[in-house]
Amino acid sequence: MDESGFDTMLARLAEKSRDEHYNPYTKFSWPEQVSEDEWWMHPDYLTVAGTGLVEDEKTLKALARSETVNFFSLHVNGIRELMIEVSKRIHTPGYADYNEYLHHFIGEENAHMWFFAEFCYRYTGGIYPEAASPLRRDGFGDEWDDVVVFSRILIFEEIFDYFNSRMGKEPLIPDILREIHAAHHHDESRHVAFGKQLVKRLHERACAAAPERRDDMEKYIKDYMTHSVRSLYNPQSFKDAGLPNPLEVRRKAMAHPVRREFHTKVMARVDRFFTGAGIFSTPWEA
Amino acid sequence: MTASTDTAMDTVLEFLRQCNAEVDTIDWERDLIDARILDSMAFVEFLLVIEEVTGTPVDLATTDVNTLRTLNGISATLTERITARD
Ligand SMILES: [Fe+2]
Ligand SMILES: [Fe+2]
Repeated sequence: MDESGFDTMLARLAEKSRDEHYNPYTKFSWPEQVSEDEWWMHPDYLTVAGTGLVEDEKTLKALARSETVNFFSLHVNGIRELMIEVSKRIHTPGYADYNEYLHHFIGEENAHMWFFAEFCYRYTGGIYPEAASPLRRDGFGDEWDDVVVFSRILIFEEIFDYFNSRMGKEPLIPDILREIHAAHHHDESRHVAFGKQLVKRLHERACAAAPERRDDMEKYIKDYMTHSVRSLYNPQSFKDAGLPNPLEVRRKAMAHPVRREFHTKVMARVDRFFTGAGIFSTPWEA
Repeated sequence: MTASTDTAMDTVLEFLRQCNAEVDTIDWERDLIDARILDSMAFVEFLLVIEEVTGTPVDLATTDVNTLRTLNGISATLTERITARD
């Protein structure tokens, strides 16, 4: 996309954000309770789907609940860190073109964080804590750190969108959950469109400034994709679903060939983007 | 080292090998992060492996993760945790 194409896209996305702006605090009608007899996620989208590791319907329904909590918690915890990074950059030199849209981004992510957390606190024991690394990540240098931040956001958004776009029209799940997934999907389609173009530009800029780090970056982004997929498998959700050996189930499920195929599907779109943009020299491997 | 500590160490080595195959030739005193066997992302997964093989969660409030940065350190930690458990 050339300069003027990019500007047109930014203007169009900002306009859409303005037109479609909603009040998250009044948008949803929260029911008194959400029945535990219902599937909170379609069983095909549970982390054990296709593995035969868990067969009992009651346990699977419990897992659909705890994996909903995990999924929503991943957004709350993940986007907190990424919003900090975006906030550090807005209205700084080099971001002038993006300021307007970043305002929408931060505003919308703030709304998402609220409704995802609100669901967990209303109907469950609340969000799960973050599985943060005790080690600090080494920086890659200014230009490359920009690529890191927005690539992470993009990967994160694509994973969410894979689930949101499907759960957002899934008749099996309770209305409030379908509405939350659909609302998120709606905003994220704009974020993803913006994110792809931004990452491409930031990557070009970083390559011009410090080309020797290009391969390291490819490895880092791919590792982050692997890490993100693994975060769907939270030992705490297996524990909360009443499974006696959460770590073993997690390990077996993650390594199952059916699941690896699923991981490839979840990542297919973002992987195609990275490869197509020349950011990856080879595709990501699940 | 007892038999169960040996098996535990083997499982950890297998995990580290998947991160970076060079772990097989590395000095057991060498820092695994500096040697690029482990990074901050893989470390999250690594802690779960330690938890599974020892049967006790790694409490980050009371564990000095620096003791887990070398193979000798990991081995000592496994021995300590498994002995305490058995
Ligand atoms: Fe979001
Ligand atoms: Fe987003």
